[in-house]
Amino acid sequence: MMARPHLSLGDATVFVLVALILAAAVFGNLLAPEATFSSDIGNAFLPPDAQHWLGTDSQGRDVLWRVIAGAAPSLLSSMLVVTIYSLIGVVVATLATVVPRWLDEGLMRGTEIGLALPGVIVAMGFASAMGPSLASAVIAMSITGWPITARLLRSITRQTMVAPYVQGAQVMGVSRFRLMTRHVLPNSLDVLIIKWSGDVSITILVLGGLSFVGVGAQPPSAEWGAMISDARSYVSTAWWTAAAPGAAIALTAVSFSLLGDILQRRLGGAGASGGARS
Amino acid sequence: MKPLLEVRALTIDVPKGEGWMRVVDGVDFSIGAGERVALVGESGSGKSMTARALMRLDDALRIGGAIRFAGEEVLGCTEAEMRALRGSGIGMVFQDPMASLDPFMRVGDQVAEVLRIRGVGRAEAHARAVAILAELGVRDAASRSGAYPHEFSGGMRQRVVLAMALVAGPKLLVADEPTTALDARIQQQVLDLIDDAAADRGLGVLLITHNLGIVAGFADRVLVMYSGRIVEEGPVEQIFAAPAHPYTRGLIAAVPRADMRVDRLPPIDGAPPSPARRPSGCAFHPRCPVRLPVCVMTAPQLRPSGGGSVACHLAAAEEAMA
Amino acid sequence: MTGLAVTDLCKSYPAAGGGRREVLKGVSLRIDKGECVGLIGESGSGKSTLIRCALGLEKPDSGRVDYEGSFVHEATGPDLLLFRREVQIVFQDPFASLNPRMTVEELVGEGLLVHRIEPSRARRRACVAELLGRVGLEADAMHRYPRAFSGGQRQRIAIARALAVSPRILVCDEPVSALDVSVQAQVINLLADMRSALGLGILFVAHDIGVVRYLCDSVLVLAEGRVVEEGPTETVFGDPQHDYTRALMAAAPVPDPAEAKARRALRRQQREAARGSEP
Repeated sequence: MMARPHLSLGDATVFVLVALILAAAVFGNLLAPEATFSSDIGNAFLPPDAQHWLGTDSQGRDVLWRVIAGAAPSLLSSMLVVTIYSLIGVVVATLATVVPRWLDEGLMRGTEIGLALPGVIVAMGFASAMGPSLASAVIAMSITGWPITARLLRSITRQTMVAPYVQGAQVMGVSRFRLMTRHVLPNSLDVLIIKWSGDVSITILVLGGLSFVGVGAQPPSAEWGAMISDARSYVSTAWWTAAAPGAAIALTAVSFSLLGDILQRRLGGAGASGGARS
Repeated sequence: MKPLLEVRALTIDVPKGEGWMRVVDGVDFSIGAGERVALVGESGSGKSMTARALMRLDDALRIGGAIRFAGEEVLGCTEAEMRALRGSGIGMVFQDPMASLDPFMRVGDQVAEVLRIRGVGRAEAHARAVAILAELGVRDAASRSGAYPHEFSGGMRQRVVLAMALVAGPKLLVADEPTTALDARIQQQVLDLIDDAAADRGLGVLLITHNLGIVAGFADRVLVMYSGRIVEEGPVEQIFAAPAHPYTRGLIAAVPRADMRVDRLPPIDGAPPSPARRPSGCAFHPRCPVRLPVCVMTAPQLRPSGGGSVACHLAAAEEAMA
Repeated sequence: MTGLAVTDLCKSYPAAGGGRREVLKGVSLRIDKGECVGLIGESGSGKSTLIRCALGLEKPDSGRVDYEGSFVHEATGPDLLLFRREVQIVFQDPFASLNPRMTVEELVGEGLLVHRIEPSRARRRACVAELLGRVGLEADAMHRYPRAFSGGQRQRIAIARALAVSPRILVCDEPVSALDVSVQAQVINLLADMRSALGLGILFVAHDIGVVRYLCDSVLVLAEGRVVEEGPTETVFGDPQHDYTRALMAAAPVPDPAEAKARRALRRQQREAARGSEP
């Protein structure tokens, strides 16, 4: 039996961080006190102290609680975006793998056109057409993100298709559907799991950026980009109002990026059919 | 006379999880000047690890015992002394020539580089590189030395690697599965090249292989390795004509011959064990057709038998009876 | 007409520097049920392309592949299904030929499932156990994944998987060359046993003359896309007619030190003579 690699301190730290951030995203809104979402102008701009660990913002709301509550719109929306476009990518790549070559070519030309559309520009277009909101940013990012995934997966399924076990299944008369679902995809999707984590990291930055420039989540949402946008006028007097959500974005992006690296290390090669003789 | 290479009680451990795993467990052998020795073994036998240990190519290995080359202790060498030893003392050829070659460097430069780092001038290094490539059968060596590795076929690449191993004038050539990936005709050509080069230079050769067939025509002496130990050693004629260890006997009988028809191949049951799960006593006992009760308990020592030596309880008992 | 017949197969691929490289230049061969045909070829001889065309994985430029009287590359419906069931393959590298994400039970039972031979899961499991026993593996192997097995055991699993659908023809593409020497004979003997027990036709593709001479009734020697010599195994190897066959025979290692060293000395003389004759 092959021994699993030991859990190093660094890896464990990343897992704990990701778990904490996910917990904040899922339970943050439920746990946050009522005051997190209502204004109390009398207590505005209190610097960090024992009661408000990260101070209060322009509306007198506790910054730490807002950052925790903001995990939901910031992280869950990013995960939603990446999950949607990954699924679209899987469907497109799977189709391209099973259809005749000319249609495969056509689909891949289509993805090249898709590649040329920058998500940020499309998001701005959506914002002006539908009105700026987190939903319009999520839709725009979801429908522009898939081409890279589709192309990556197509190049992997191309390799998997010529693996001897896939050819053997073809010789055995396995249907195309079964060939894809039992043989090709299970041995091709490892990379997507790794990519998913890295993409969440990037998408958090982009969605935060969109909110910051005003085409994503709108105040009073606790979305981190929106919080920074809201705080930018007071940076010189109340730096914590911008620094806290900024740090949250950075920490989350780095955590998911590192998670991707760890998955790469642990999953990478698991599906590969190596095994050299000495 | 002192042997060229002397290996005593060699043990090699590789890191595994928190601890170490023993892959070579007490190996003794020596190679005289100009002698050809074949080290034969299957996967997990530790034969390639032994080769890596000789050259200290892998810092992750824990090596115990003694390796003396030309009277000098290799395991005590500094890294600088090791660099001098590789190439001008011991030349090395590996299974995959592409892994030994820099894909972005002209082959002539790669061969010359071996001399350049030993302080030979540019023009002279280049001339000697071209000369040795020509000697090893690279046609138009002067112009072909300007080509890149990918422009060469597998057999030609192996010639370049051989040139790199030989150009600094070593006393011993270690060839680790040098022909495994090649077709039979190319395999024979490369072995003949090693044969010629070794004969012309009076070179000692350690040929490491899983293929007993290529050993018969090449080696003077054969070491048979199984699960980290040498189980039999002797002159090549004796190994093939009268193998004393059941494993050696099984190996020779299990290979179908190209030059005659055999009716039934007697297979060896089971598979070679991985170092992580080495059987108790004699490591071969689970597969052995003539196992004795003692074989399960204690590992047999390598003792003299005929012109060689064998590590087998049964062989020892038969010797004692006779 | 029975068995698998390849007639005058040609196949070329686009070459790197423009134009086309002819890989197969009119190859014909035929395997009947119960017959073992060896195909000897070095790398670049076109044997892989031949196998892919013969199995219907690739379309030849010209020529035809027939199975049981129907043209494989145009077969549809029941004819194709029959071909996909009765002609199976065992690959060289048992580490790459078994889907790492499937258990041995799923791997061996897949053919029974897709050809609806044994749709019930319980009956299929019993079948798989029987097949594993036939190739010399324990029945409880079925719950594990391929990575838990050694090379020789994996090749047994691959053979059990192919045999599950009761094929008539088994194409073996270098099935033992990736295995440890002491394990090769086990797999070769297993194939020989299966052939006599099941009346299997075997196309045994290899570069190793010894294995082919041991196992096959007749042999074809493939070189640069052409069959250069063919006939009964003992006739071809006992008295090779083509220079290429002779060269292959001469290059095959001989496990007899006296004979091998005599040959080596002879080759050395020839090389020296050749060197002396050069200007």
